[in-house]
Amino acid sequence: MARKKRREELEVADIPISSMIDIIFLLIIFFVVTAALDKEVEDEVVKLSKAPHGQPVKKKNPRSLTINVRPDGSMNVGGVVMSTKKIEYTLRTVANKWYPGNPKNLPIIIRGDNRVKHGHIQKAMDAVTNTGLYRVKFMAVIEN
Amino acid sequence: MARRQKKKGSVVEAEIPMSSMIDVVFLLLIYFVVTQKPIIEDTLLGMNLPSDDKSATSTPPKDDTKLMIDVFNLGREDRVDSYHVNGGGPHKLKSLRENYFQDLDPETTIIINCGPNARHAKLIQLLDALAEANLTKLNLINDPNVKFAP
Repeated sequence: MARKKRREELEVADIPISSMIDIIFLLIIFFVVTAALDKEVEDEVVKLSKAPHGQPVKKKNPRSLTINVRPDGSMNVGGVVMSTKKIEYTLRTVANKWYPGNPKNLPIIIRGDNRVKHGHIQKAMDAVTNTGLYRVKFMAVIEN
Repeated sequence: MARRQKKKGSVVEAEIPMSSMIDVVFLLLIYFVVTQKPIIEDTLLGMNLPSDDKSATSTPPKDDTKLMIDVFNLGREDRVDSYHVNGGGPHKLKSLRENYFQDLDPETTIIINCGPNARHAKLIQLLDALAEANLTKLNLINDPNVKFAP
């Protein structure tokens, strides 16, 4: 009788959930980290102006350089605060590295805060024109 | 008899521990709800940059195929972030849309002279209104006579 009882206890089918949860968490961490890397170039402090009639950006060119201009007028590229001279140097380096045949083809995106005075944006544009680049666009948000 | 009955009555129950899985699912649900951001689409507004040519000043063009728009903030009450067409009086964006942009030929060259003390948002609003009117020949110039007061 004792033997039979033991057999009955062992017959309960169990699915190991713990290993599955391990894998799910691993995947979540992976996606969270990679998503954060993609958004690194965008400065969260910068509040963009609204342009409801602009064409939405379907796919951003990965070989483009973004200059963020904060409300206080400070400029940064990829979160690194830079002076106008440093931006010029960065633009030259990046343009020659990404477009070795025709460095002037480097697209530049200026993300200016909606409260910043245009004079600060002019400084960023001056840095661009001083390096001989011309493909500049202003970023805005499509929101009614 | 007792033996047979016991054998038939013993049912093997397959149990999946649901409580812990529900815990995890709720945790994930809360995480995604909290961290979710509204999907905001970006747009890029392009124009030609100011040239190095210092002779390119902000004098209104006499040519009909060109339109000069000034965006100014000179600190005076009557000219705070206002738009001026061909050197004329101040306009609001709505008035520019209705009186100038609606019937304008898409081939018209627009010269924008944005003052350094005007807010960047004013320029973006103007570029947006021009994009609405399908005007794409845009040139941005700097007026060297206006001093920047950061």
